[in-house]
Amino acid sequence: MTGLQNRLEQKLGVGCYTTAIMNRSIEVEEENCIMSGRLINEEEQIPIKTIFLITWSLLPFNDNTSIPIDSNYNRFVKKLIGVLPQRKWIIIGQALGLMAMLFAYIGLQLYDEDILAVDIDDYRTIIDDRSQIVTPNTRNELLNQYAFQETSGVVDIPIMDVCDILYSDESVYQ
Amino acid sequence: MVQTDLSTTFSEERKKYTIEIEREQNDNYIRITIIPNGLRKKQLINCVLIIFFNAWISMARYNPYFEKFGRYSLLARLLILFTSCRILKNPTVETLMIFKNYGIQTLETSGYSILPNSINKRICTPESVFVPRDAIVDIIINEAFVKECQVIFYLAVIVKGEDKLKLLFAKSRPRLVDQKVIYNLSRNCLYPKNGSDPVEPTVIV
Repeated sequence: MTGLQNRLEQKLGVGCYTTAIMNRSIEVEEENCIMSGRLINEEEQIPIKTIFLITWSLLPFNDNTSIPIDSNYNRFVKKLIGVLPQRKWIIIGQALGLMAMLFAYIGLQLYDEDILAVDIDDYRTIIDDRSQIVTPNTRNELLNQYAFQETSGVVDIPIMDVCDILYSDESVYQ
Repeated sequence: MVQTDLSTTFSEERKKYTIEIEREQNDNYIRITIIPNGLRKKQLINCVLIIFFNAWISMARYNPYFEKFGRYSLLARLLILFTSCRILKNPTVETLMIFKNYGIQTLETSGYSILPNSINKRICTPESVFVPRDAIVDIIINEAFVKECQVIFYLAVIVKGEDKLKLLFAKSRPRLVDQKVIYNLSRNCLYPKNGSDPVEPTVIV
């Protein structure tokens, strides 16, 4: 890695390094798009942020003996480190994102189940303050108009009638 | 199926429990019992757990935790024994009794694991609740979320003037097949369809 970077430093200079990779990748992308007949979107390009993060995290340390101290590259890295925050923040940021995902997928689910869900002997499991309960006079009316046919609006059949339709039968263990 | 001149008893074994249904003549009285399987095994495991835990506590003679209680250390140990007995009780045997035109009664029987059954029968009186028929709105099979991240079916009774549903067989959750049977039996017994007026139950001599 360091040998490659040395050569690149001699030929291009580090400033051109990232842009060169970017230009090449964009060209390759464009060729692929033309070949496959797709339109070029902005989303399909490699984002500058990831390239910057990778190069930033792979830059060798200042005290690396393979690089001479007064080199052009070293001076550039010194300036870069002076401007940028410490490189541990890359790992910290990624770990923070991972933990946030873990919290969202597991913690919120457990919170929902344990605290927000009501007990099973609560009346809120069978009734709602926004319900519109229909009260048909006869059983046939209930069956013909509401139970097995679409209604014009959102209505609720009482839980007793629902259980009666779903579960009641006359032949029991005979 | 056991049949006598007074009643018929039906029992079926499921994976986790055994259901017993006893029906009197003309369904005047129905008794449904759900007994968890492996009752004696669980009792033995609980007993061993309690004995080992309490032995471990009392064997540690100079336990620094109990030294700060001073002369009340024996009392603290007895308290731990009592609470561990209260927590690790026998699995409950739940019973539902339905009296024709009168109402329902639920029984929950449990006992301490370290005591034999003959003493448990005398000490632990079953918790019984009677609900008269005029207080019952209806018996329903409901669906709801439980803490184990799943949706279950369960039997419940809507009682007038109560702010909570009364659950039937809350601890041993029977399967929907058995819930249907219990639901139909209890409704046919409480609200008989052939006679609109409630009839006095005939006394069998």
